[in-house]
Amino acid sequence: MNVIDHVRDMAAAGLHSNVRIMSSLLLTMSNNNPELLSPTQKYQLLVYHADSIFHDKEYRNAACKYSMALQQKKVLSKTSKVRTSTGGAASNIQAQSLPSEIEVKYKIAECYTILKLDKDAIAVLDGIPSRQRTPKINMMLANLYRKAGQERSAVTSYKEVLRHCPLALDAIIGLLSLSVKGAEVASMTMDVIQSIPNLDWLSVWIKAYAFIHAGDNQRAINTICSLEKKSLLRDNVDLLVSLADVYFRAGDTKNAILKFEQAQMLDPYLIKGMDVYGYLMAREGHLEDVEVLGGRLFNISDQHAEPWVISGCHSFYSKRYSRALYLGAKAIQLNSNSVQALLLKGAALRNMGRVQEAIIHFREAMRLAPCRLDCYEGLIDCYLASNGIREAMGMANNIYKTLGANAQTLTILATVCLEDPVTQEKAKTLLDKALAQRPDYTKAVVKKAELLSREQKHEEGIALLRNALANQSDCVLHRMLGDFLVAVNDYQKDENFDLTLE
Amino acid sequence: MTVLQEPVQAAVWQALNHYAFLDAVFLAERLYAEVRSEDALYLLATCYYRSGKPYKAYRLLKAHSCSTPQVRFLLAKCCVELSKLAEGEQVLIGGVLNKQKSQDDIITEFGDSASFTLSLLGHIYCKTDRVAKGAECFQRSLTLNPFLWSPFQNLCHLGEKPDPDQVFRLSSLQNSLAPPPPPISPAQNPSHRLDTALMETPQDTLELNRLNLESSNGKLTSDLSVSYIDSSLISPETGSLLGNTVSMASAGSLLAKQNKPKSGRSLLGGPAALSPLTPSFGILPLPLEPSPGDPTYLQNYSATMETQSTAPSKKSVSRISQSKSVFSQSGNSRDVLPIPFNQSQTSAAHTSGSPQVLSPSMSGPPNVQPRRSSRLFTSASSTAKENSKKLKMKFPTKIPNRKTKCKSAKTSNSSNLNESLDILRLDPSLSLPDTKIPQYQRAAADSVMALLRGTGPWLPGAVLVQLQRSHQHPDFAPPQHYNTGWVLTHIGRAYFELAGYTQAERLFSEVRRIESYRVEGMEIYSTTLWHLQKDVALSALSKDLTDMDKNCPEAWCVAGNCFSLQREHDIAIKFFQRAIQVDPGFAYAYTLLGHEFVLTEELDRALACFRNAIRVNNRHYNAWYGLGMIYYKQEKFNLAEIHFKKALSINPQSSVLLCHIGVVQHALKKSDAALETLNRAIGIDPKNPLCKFHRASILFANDKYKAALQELEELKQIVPKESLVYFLIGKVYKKLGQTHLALMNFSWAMDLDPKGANNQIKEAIDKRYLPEDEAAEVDDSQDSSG
Repeated sequence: MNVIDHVRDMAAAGLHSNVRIMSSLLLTMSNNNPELLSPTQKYQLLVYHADSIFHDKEYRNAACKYSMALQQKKVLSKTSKVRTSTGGAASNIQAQSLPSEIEVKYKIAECYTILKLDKDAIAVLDGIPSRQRTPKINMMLANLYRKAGQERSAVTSYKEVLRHCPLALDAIIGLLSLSVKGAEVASMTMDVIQSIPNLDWLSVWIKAYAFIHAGDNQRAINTICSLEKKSLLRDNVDLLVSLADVYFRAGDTKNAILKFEQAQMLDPYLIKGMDVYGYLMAREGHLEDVEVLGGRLFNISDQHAEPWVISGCHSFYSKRYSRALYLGAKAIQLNSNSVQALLLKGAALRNMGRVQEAIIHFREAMRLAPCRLDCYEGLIDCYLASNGIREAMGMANNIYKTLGANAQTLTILATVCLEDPVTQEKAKTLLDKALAQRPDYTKAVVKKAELLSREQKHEEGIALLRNALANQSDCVLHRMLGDFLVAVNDYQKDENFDLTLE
Repeated sequence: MTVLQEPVQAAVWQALNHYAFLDAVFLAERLYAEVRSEDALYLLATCYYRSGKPYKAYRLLKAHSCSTPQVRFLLAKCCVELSKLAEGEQVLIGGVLNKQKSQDDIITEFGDSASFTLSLLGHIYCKTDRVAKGAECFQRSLTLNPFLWSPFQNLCHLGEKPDPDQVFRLSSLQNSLAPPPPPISPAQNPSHRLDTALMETPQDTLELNRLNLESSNGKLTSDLSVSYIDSSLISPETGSLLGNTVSMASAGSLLAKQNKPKSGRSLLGGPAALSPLTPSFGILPLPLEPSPGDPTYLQNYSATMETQSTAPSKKSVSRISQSKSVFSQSGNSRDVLPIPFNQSQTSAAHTSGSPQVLSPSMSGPPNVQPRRSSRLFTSASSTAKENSKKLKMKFPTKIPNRKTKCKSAKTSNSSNLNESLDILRLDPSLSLPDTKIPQYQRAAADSVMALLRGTGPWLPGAVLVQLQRSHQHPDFAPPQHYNTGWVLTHIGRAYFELAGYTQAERLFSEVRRIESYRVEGMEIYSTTLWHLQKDVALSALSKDLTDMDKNCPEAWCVAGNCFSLQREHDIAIKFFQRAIQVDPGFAYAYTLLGHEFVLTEELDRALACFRNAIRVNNRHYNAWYGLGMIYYKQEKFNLAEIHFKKALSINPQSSVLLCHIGVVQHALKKSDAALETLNRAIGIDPKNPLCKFHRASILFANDKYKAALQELEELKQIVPKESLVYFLIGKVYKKLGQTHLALMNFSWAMDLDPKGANNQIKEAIDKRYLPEDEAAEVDDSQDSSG
């Protein structure tokens, strides 16, 4: 047993810090005396050394060391070619115990990904012949491709993963997010579903995520609910978070908050999706809860964007915009894909008057989450803040066309129309349309009431608000009703103001 | 290792039935940890809820997806209890994407418990100021289940005037009383609407069903729905004399309970509790041995036989007595009318997986034979296997007819079942053909309906009207109901609202005598005593109530009133604040606090208090009146009139309110309207001195001296010792130029009020009722009188 075997055993035993010191010493020895270690041994040593550095989270260093190892490997293969003709079995055995080249490349790619050098990572992985790619490599490659916008390559890679592992659900989600048809994805997993008992829900699950990514919120909600009803999948946190998220996208804040709350009660260490939860609660004015939630998540991890976003939301809604800006920036730094962080930063910038910068952030958020309305709303607010009614109008029309005519898009369009004195009438018809679709949509009611109060049609406004209040109790509406009543000198106003205080 | 759920569940229910909440919670927690099923979750939450910890149940249920209606209902109930109304509403009706479920959806979804769900929903709506929707919910709830009292009462509080004759009708139940159809899925069948009234906790039955399934070992595969009816029921006299009793016990529940008759008996069958009737029951023939040849018997009671054949006959005797004693014990039950749901939910005392029982208590001479025989008929509607998952209700109920005093009490399953068994065995001729059942059921239900209809006249508004019409004690309540706290409190409150304080006091003291534990309405009693200045009685009442229950707002209101009467306003304020602290939803406490602030001249805080009272209950007319008073004091007569009128619209019979409106109208220089209003007030209450005084003053101010003089003469007859009256008379005479008469009256006024305590008032009168140019003259007259 030579020294390399000892190092290998240590590495296998997970004594990385020890390996690091030892291998460093040995490598220097070998550099000073190339005869001391054979090329194979040196390659091994380099890999172990790089591994230990990787474990110390010095990724750039590790990547460099891995590259050196690869270099060494190339030398090795050249010499071994000569040797195979002479050597025979012994070298084969040795070759088997060597760390594989592909694994090293994967490690390099991992380092690059962590260092956010996506292009380099793709280049490294691309260098692996597609035959030799393991599912792991394909998965990483697919994620990288998707991030880089190379959708076609991403789809192929994901499919490759699925071919090997039909239950790779993240790959399925990836495929669906690349707008591959649900049926096509399902067909790839069909064999497994049929052969394994108790997996019949999987096709429903795929369907649900297909709806989510297709933006069909209503049906997505129904499908997930039907999944949840199956007692076996009851109280699954991931499902709950997905459900809450869809509720949120569909504009159903109440249900979204309920589901998020339930999810985080079931799993107090839950991080995913909590940024949206925090944002929703902050928007609804439960600032204390937001603060508590943020503190709790910081205790779980400060390496995720979510806790930063949550405390950013808290700062934002308590009107400390520069702090919110900082926290948002920090969150983006941790996870450049966090839509919520981008929105937070954008909103903070907008409220601080740096509209152009804000627009950049909202655009980025829009690119990442084309289905989320609040990205568009933020952007439109930015345009309106910088007097760009025409841009805002264009944007609103755009949303209206792409996302279809539902109450939310109609209201957004109407909001823009309200800004322009010329289009007041259009705003009114739009709001009426929105209210016809969803009579309880608070935003539309508020806008309509604003319009009516501007037109001095107090009686109509009162009727509208009273109507809306018959079905829901909302303090904003009560306050508006109170204002209207004051306007018409109704002495019973007390009542409504009292109710708002509640 | 998996634990068999059913025995544990049965044990939990047994513990709950015997108020052993700690044990129940412990067991349920263990069971839930073991199986984590939704049933176990529900059971655990129920244990938490019944042990008075709704927040525990709330948090537990919230963390889990609630799919079954019963779980959602419990969650909503907890939400309401923790005043998370929006959340409760969302739980009950929140659909996807803000779309709310319609009431029809709720009815189909919640099935048998829909009436309770709607009632709860109505409560939420009312609390969130959506009265119209709330009223609608209550109405629906009542049509679904006319046995519910609280929705009806709430409707009345909302100012709706539901007609009891309309509401408490069985028409809506017509088909529900049809013969039980071949019970494939009883839960879905509308025919079980009647059952819902008596329904308790669906999970009970669920559990029972399971037990049924389990213990019957497949013997009872077919559904058993043959009922036994006592033949003596048919005779009308007995029917009218005695309570018709319906007992719908199921073979399933029989089986469920067969493992626990012993404990049930030991708990319930204390010898001290034997009622006078017990002996007669004791000597009743012992259970007949079932004749093997009787197929009906076999069919229906194969399960019973399993149990009973093992039980010695002696036991059943003791069971009879025990069940009787249960009823006699419950004779003082507080509520005249059954409010089954509330009780089962809120009070631990009525737990049991068991039936709500309305039992006749012996008000007449013991008339044993017919009574016994008419007591029960049993429809055994048992269950089919295949729907054991569904809710099924079997409720032994007993429904007395009108003449018997009724009360709601619950007994444990065992006693009821045993009772029904006894009857069955006592009278082998019992078994009637199935088809006749509905009529008897309907007859029984009808009697309950009649009873509920009879409550109409006791409702607050109705009592008021009655009192006005007859000016004497209302005689509409049958005596056995009349002498109960509930009725007397209502009548007392009606007198109070008509300012008939002495009568009110008499009634309330009667209530105290009959039901010394009654706290509802005592705040009114205390205010009555306050008006009558009976400080000794008031402090005794206060002491008693605060000793008895420190957690009810009424007790603290009484204490506050007590100190208010002693002119210890700061302490009174503290106590009223405590009342609010104990129950922030108690409107009257806010009002009393407001009045107290008025007395300490803190008008702004008083305004806030009255507004709070209105916020809590916007039909609380006292608070509207309080607001009006403050505005009047601030001389904002317009606002004052609006508020007084609002109060009047809620309590249109109040002469006091009319009187105030009259005064305000006069202040607004609408003297004619004021006179008219005061005439109306006097029309309502001809003896109200305040009204007459104000009328006289206004007449005087309008230079109608003769009329004023006549008015004052009448007033002198009513309140002969009031110096202000003589003062005013004096002034009238002065106007008429009869100086010596004027002086005489002024000196009488002086004699009656030598300290001049009312001088301020006199000045106020002068200012208000005299034109400016006469002011100097008035000063003279005052000098002469002073």
